Amino acid sequence: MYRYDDYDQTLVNQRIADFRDAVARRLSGHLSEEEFKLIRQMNGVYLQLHAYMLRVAIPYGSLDSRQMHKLAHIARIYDKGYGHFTTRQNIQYNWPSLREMPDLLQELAAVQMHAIQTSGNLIRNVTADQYAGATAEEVDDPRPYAELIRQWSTLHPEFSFLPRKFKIAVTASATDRTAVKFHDIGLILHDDPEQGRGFEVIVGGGMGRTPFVGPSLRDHLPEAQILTYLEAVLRTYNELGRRDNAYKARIKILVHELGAEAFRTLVEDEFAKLLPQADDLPQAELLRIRERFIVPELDALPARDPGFDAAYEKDEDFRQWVKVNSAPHKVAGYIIANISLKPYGGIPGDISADQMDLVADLAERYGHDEIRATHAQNLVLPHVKLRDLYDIWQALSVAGLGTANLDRASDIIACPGLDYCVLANARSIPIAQEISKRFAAKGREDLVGELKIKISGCINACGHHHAGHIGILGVDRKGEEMYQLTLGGSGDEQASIGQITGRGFDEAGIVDAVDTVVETYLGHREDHETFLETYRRLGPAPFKEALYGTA
Amino acid sequence: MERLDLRKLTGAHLKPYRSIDDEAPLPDEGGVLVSLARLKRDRAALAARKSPYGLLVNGDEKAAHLAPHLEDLAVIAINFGKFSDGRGFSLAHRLREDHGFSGEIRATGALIADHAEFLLRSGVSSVELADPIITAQFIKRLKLYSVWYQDAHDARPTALELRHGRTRKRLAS
Repeated sequence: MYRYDDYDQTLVNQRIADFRDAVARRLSGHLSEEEFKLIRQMNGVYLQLHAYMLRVAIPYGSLDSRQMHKLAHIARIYDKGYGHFTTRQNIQYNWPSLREMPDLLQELAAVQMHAIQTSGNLIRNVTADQYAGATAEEVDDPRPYAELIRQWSTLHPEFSFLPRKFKIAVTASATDRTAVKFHDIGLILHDDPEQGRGFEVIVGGGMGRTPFVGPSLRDHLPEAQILTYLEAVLRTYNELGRRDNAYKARIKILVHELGAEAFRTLVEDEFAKLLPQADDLPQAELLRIRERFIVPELDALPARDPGFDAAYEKDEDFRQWVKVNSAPHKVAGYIIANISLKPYGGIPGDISADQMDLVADLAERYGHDEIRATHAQNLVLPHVKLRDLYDIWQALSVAGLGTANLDRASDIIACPGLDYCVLANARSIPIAQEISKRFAAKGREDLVGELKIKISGCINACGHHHAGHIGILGVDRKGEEMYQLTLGGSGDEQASIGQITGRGFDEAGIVDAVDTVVETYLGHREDHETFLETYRRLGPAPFKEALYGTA
Repeated sequence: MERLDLRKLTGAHLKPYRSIDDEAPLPDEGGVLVSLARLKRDRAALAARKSPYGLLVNGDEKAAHLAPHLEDLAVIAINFGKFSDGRGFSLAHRLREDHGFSGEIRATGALIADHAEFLLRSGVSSVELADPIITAQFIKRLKLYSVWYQDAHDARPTALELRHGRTRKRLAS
């Protein structure tokens, strides 16, 4: 957790005062809806199908119990008692009124939170690995860099009216949990034996109508030059990115149309020009940011705990949850616990105010006061003791948060779809619910193993269907909701884009089609192959045959 | 760079310039704004007049195209065609940073009060706004904020400077 200093707090407070003024100008008619749209989006406020929606930033997915309690409070007071975690590690509220929005933001500011730049054509909330600071895999905690970029990008004088939204992710692990190659800029921290600490810089990845796995622009960028390099990329994009067509305005299109080499040359020229004058990232500032992160003081514990071992032995459901939902911690006697927000038949990412309070209480009592939100719309307690895990799981289970399905078929990412969104062509949530129910039978998910299903209600791909092992895209066909199926996508370190299988399916048909694909995989897999491995070995043919017949 | 005087930034205190069409005759007196094409064509005539002159360009103009003329210009007016089009910010930045232009950079066009801070911190030094209400809102907005993260083209200290007691390279040079 980064703690604000007075300057951070002052800026957030002043931004709220500014937004309060803008809301007043809108309500009194001094701002047109079109003008207000620009401002409200920069402050995280959308206009959805039925009401205004507020998206609250959770920078790099990190929050503490006080903040989670506040999110619960906001859900109760300003919404209908729940919130919805998004694929950008944020949370959104679907029902607050515009008039109350400034007060809501003031409440958030009291716990060092904001909704700045969670929408609009500017640099959005920076995301990072949800296991940051807890996994032994990482070079270092990526979050201080993400915080540095958060500050640099907040109300940036030059880059706040970009052609389109701009998303940055930072990871420091060999295993990519951030979909780093699907971002406008993806930064991978490494320690090079000769060149020292730096980043690999991926630019121009993305989903949407035209998905790209981003090309690597730099193998090694020294860490001190990161902000200067970002400035060079953003200036190049701000000047040259297309503004004539919203679907072609993302940086990925610019990179693609120019070619990665030509784009790299433009950026490197700008970078070379900036470098002599540049204010390199001062080590003192990075140090200051690191010092303002609360690093939990973990106890020295034995690697095994008899109480844990006994519970693991005796309670089959607990054992299952530990196997599926936990990950190794870098410190002996600790473990990373994933909290699924995907109960069978539930709405992916939804969480009630009471559940939020419970997670906050557990984090405070057992988890060194740390909680993470993941881009897969789940939560994490990153630092819990093995010996507390059984108590934690029991409490979660009672509250409906104990589902053992991390990275399994029912751990579905879904956008809000036509139930909420003005852009959607089709509903996503009910499809996710129906598919999830198919995997509720005990043992079926164990049989299938790792399987990532992702659902988008329109081509904007907010549900990341391109990166789904099984992806589903809702389309509108003559007024009817139809669903296309894609296979073989992946958002990890070996990123790939899913391929369309063939003609689409209706609402019932798509759920059956997923079943068919899964059964085909089970029939063809060798040894312990995952779905993705089998698909990559066999290609689409057997799946197409199962779905559409040999024709 | 000198500290900005908010009262002279916009509204009635702005130095008046008339925008002159490419084919219209140059008036005998008073400041004028012309296009880049006109500037190239009528440079001698513009220089012979006693009044200051400047360029009116769109936000997507390339700073490098203006570079050969900067010494003669009292003002460069950047027209923001749409209030969501941010290219003018990069143009202002480049004129200051890449080309060392120290004259007036005036923002004009589809601007609203909410652009205020972004404009000034990108290197714009005066702003032409549609009406007195927007002008009042614009000035109010500038007084709302006291702290910024990025080093920019106004002289107000950044969070970084305040935190570490340091001076920007850009301003120090």
